[in-house]
Amino acid sequence: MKHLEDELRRALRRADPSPDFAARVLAKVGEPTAWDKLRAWFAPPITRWAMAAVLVAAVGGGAAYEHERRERERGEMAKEQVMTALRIAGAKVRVVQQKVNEIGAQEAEETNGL
Amino acid sequence: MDFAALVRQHQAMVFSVAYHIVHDRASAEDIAQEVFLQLHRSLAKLESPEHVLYWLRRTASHRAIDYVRKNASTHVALDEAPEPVAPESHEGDPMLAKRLRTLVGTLPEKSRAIVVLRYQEDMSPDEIAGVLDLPVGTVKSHLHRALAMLRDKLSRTLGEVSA
Repeated sequence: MKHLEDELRRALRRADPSPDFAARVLAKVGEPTAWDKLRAWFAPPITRWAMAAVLVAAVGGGAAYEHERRERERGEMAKEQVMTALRIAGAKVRVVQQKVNEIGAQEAEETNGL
Repeated sequence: MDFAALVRQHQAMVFSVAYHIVHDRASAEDIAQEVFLQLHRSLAKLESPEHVLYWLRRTASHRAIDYVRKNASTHVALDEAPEPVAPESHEGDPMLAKRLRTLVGTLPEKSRAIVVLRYQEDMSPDEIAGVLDLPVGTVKSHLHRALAMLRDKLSRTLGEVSA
């Protein structure tokens, strides 16, 4: 068994990888990951301020649009109510006008008959 | 600890542990590369050169065993697998050495790792048990059976190997 063990030690001696193995590992370690690249992009202060400004503008712009939309809606509703009131008023005026015409016609007939 | 110096110091060990377990040069280099990339991420947690060596042996062994398990169906014929170049030695029979490496590659992956750590790294069964998270008794049992298997196969192919 000792002989076999000696032969195993010889057979399983350490061997070297490719000559450029270490260089490849060190190159990989130097490569930034996708996350590192994203973080680096956000790192400079000017980038952070620009992103903050865009966010504020987006939030503020959204709120202003919503306010304007609601004002427009209220205006439309008020206009609709006025138009309805005018239509009702106009109808009533037409009814009164008709009555006045009828009365006028009646009086004219009576006067002519005298 | 300087990472580049650690790579240069331990690359042969890590590569060889991986190669003698997976018996495929390209895969062994991929595994070794992953081990060193993981070392780079974990270096701050390692306390001493001895801790680094333990960590490298452990990580290389486990990754190589996992590779063998995942790729059992795509096993390359061992006689066709290209061998890395070991340092020249004037002792022993190179054909016998090659045959033994081939036979080690036929062992179950856990036994393979135990034989590699024992005879490549000269680790004791206690140390191997710590690296592979196995009871010492299991390591000794695997080692005993692996040697018996290797002796039997070798004696059948090359004649009696003197005890």
